[in-house]
Amino acid sequence: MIRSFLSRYHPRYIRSLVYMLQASEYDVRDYLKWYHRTKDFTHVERRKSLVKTGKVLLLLGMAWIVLLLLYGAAIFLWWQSDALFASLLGLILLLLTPFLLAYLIVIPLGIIRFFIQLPVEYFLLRRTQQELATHKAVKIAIAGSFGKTSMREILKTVLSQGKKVAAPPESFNTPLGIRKFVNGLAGNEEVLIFELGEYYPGDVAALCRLVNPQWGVITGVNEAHLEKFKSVDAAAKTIFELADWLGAQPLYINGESNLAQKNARPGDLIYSRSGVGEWKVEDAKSDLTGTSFVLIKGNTTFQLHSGLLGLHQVGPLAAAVDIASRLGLSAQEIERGVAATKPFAHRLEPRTDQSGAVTLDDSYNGNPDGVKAVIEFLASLKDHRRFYVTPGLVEMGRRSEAIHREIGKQLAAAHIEKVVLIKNSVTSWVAEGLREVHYDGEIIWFDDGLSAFAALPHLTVKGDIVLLQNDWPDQYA
Amino acid sequence: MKKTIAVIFGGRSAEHDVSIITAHTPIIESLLASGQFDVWPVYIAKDGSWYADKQMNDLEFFKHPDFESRLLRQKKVQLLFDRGLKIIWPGMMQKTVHIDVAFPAMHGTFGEDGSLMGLLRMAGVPFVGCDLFASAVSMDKMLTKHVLAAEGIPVVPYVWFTKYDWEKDKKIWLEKITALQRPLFVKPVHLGSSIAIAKVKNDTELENAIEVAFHYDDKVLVEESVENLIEVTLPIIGNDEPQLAAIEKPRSKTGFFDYTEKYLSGGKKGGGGVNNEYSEIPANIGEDLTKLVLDLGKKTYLTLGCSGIARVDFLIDGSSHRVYVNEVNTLPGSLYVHNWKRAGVSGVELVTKLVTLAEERFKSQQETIYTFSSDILSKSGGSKMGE
Amino acid sequence: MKMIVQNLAIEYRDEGSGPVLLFLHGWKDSLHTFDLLVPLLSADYRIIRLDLPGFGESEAPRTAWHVDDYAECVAECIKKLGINVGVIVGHSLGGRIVLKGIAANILDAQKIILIASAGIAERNTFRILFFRVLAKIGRLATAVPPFGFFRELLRKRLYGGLESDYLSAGPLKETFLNIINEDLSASAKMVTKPALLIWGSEDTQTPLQDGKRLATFIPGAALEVIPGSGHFVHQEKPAEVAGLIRKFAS
Repeated sequence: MIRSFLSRYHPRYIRSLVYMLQASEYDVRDYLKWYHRTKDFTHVERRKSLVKTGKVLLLLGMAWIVLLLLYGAAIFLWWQSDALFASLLGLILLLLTPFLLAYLIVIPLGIIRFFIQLPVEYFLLRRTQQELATHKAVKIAIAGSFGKTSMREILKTVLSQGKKVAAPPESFNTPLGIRKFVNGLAGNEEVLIFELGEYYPGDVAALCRLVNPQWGVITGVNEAHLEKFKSVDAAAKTIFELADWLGAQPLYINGESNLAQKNARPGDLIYSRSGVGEWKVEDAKSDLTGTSFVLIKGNTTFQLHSGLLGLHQVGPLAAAVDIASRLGLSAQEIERGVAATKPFAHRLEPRTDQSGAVTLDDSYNGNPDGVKAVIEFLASLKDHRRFYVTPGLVEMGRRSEAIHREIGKQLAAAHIEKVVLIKNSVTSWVAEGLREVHYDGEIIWFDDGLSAFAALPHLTVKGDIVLLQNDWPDQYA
Repeated sequence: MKKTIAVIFGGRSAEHDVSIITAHTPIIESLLASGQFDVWPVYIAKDGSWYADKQMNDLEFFKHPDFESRLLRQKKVQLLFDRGLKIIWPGMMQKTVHIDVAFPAMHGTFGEDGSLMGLLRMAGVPFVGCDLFASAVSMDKMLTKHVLAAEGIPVVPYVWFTKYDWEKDKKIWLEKITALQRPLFVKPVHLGSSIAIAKVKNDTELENAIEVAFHYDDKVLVEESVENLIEVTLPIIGNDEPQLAAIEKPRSKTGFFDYTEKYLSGGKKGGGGVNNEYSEIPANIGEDLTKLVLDLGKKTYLTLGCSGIARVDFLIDGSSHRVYVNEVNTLPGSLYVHNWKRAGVSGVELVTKLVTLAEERFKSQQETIYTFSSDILSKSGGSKMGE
Repeated sequence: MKMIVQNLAIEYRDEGSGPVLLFLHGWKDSLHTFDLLVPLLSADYRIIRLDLPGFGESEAPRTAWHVDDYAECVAECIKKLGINVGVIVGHSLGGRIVLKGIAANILDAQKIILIASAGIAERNTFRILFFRVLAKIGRLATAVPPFGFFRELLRKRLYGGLESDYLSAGPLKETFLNIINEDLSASAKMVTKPALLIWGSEDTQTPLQDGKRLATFIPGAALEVIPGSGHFVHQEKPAEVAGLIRKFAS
């Protein structure tokens, strides 16, 4: 209690505030929520640390000036006036300084945003829009609550076998990110792939206006970012702004996501592990070495093997094959392209440690559909002792309890031997879900993610499989 | 209620730093990971002072550039033997912690050689690993050979002498050494690591190597070198019924477990200790040799009276297929946990098993009667007292 | 391999065959500094390298040593190995040992090579004195409790101005001070053996200027400058350095 109070007077406090702003991507609402929840301000930088950008330095400087001004004012009051009232006021001001600072720091942020950032952005985006409109490449847009990055990587890998493909890398799915990407284009690209990030209604429509896509993929709709959308329907509506934009142009929809399929229009192409359009999937298998399946349409047969893990990858791969064949890639190019797909960083990425235990790093997967697919994959791996490690999922809104109980039930049904849970507000529901269906394995608790990661190498032996599900950014810890 | 366990490491030995690594990866980290123990790190500095502070549960404490000055600010602890072992932080706000089990993690002199075990026996606290007698004999390469040879376990032919013997008359010993087939190995008898062990081909090298060995020890062993050498090692745990891990073969160029290779190349990333690339587990030495090594390993362990944990090193002549027991290590670096993991025993399982073994041995020792009531005291000089 | 000299275990390497070249490394360095030269020379020379006491895998001296203590120790190693040194090569601190050892007749060799040798730098004694006095004052000031906090910080700043190696010298601190306080200009003038000096043009630790001065001190000494190289010229341009050694040694 005292410690947390004192931490507001620690020299590191200001840095912590600026870090919290940066980590919540300068979203004032997110920042304030985090601020109100935080007790100890000396330890907010757990997983990442402050990146010193120009904006950050500006904020730090301003915050220090404000702090010194407040202290100055307080001391002035206290010293100058011999009236009891004034010196008392000074003392209160002195004590309140850190609290005031936390709110005052938002003001320079607003100044930066309204007078610098927004006008510059507007100008840049107009230019980007014009440049993309005249670019000859086929533009494919990917929208969805989850699985966008995987879809982008699959498409990029497969199509690259026969076309010149470019796609903005990770975290370039905001307007400014796309601007940066367009700046770097050579002009001779044949396919451009865009991820359309969505946080609030209208986001996807705005991005469509910016990139002008001719093809679309909707990877699924679920409760991800529900804290911001309030309802799944609102999320679905935002994501399907892509469908509205495309009109009659081809749109692929993930048939394994109920919420996505529900909103599909007649004529949309539904993909799933059983096929896409007229393509039928047969003989699909997946283990630690990858996923293989046969794709058949009329007389055409593809024997495909991908390095990606899990049967839930078959649908997106099939969709990519369909797009590739429509774009005119040859059979060899398509087979080679699928063979070249391999797990992406932190998305069910396998890694074998010195002692022979296999870690499946799925820490970027934090949505219920992804979790379900992964548990299903784990269930198919026999003759291994399996560890499932998770701090739970974030931003699930009011559905959080139900979703976490369901995860518990799925884990029990899959007979996962060890469930490793990080103590927090949501994992207790996972444990309750497990107990509800009389889970026969062991639940291991840790106070925080770091101690769990430190302990895991000492809990595993050769042949064990350790799945790391989702990682919590600092603002949710 | 969690058991309080003291992991004792550091110490006045050449292997001070290695001990710190063994104590943390895997011992402290695994004990903490098990969630069953209240772990007190007890660190013995190079000057012999004892410290205990939970901060020392983190290996980073010892890597910190200001380590020396931070240590100076630490309070030294005292020990109390009062129906068990207690650690005391003296001063105005005196604090005392009762230790339920001790986990010695010290390599070499004063730690692995039985000294620490003697102290813990006196305190009457259960402790992990070999007891005093097995530790002391295993630390002395010459005594090990004597004991094993007496039980018919094959050892490489050798000559041994003390520094006094050597300085008094080198000729006698050089003469005796001529009976051995060259090339030869020169080893200080007590040193745990391969520091100061040399392979020599001629007389100048031999004398020089003996001089170096005496720089580190007062007793030296000169033994035949096994040619076409295959070196293997076998980690073992258990008290009366030893459990054997997989036979392991180092892959190093020299065929010799080099000090730096042994400890510093591996174990940076969790769980290791010895880098797996440096060894083949299980060693591919054929069925017959495997069986022989396992038999000899178990027999050696029991003959020396090992308990808890040990590792037996073997020398195999690749052409004649003769197997010799080379030496026994009563605190294998990092507990050889990398090997146990191959055998399906995790770090946590290994350390909790070792704690159980320690408690079992302690219990059985307590059931053995050591004291007898006698009337000698009252009789001695009694008549005079009576007058 | 190790040998015992003055009751210290000294690590050394004995490679190749032919006339003996003895290599001495610099401060905070080890015999491995010459790793790249060995394969270039071992076909025709017997190359002996040792870790000087306190460095590499050799034990540290038990008291604070001076340059001539190091020279004595090297001389005993030579005696123990029963060799006649053809050329003795010293880099940096090794160069000081060679200068002092040869001048004082502690060491014997037919020829000497000094690579970026230390020992005759024109020292700005006033600057050193200034920093020392400041450091002393700082120590007194920070002995008062609340200022103790700043002690490490201050120490690093001040000694950083003095000599960067000093702080990292550890237990060898006194030895380090003994060594850097000894100016070997007089010794250099007493050297009568044929001498070769090898310097990197971009050396900042022992600038080329030092090499030029040294060349004027040692009668008949030749100075070879390797353009573009720094203080560790034998690691940066091993082939050129080996070539120079070969030409001079034959």
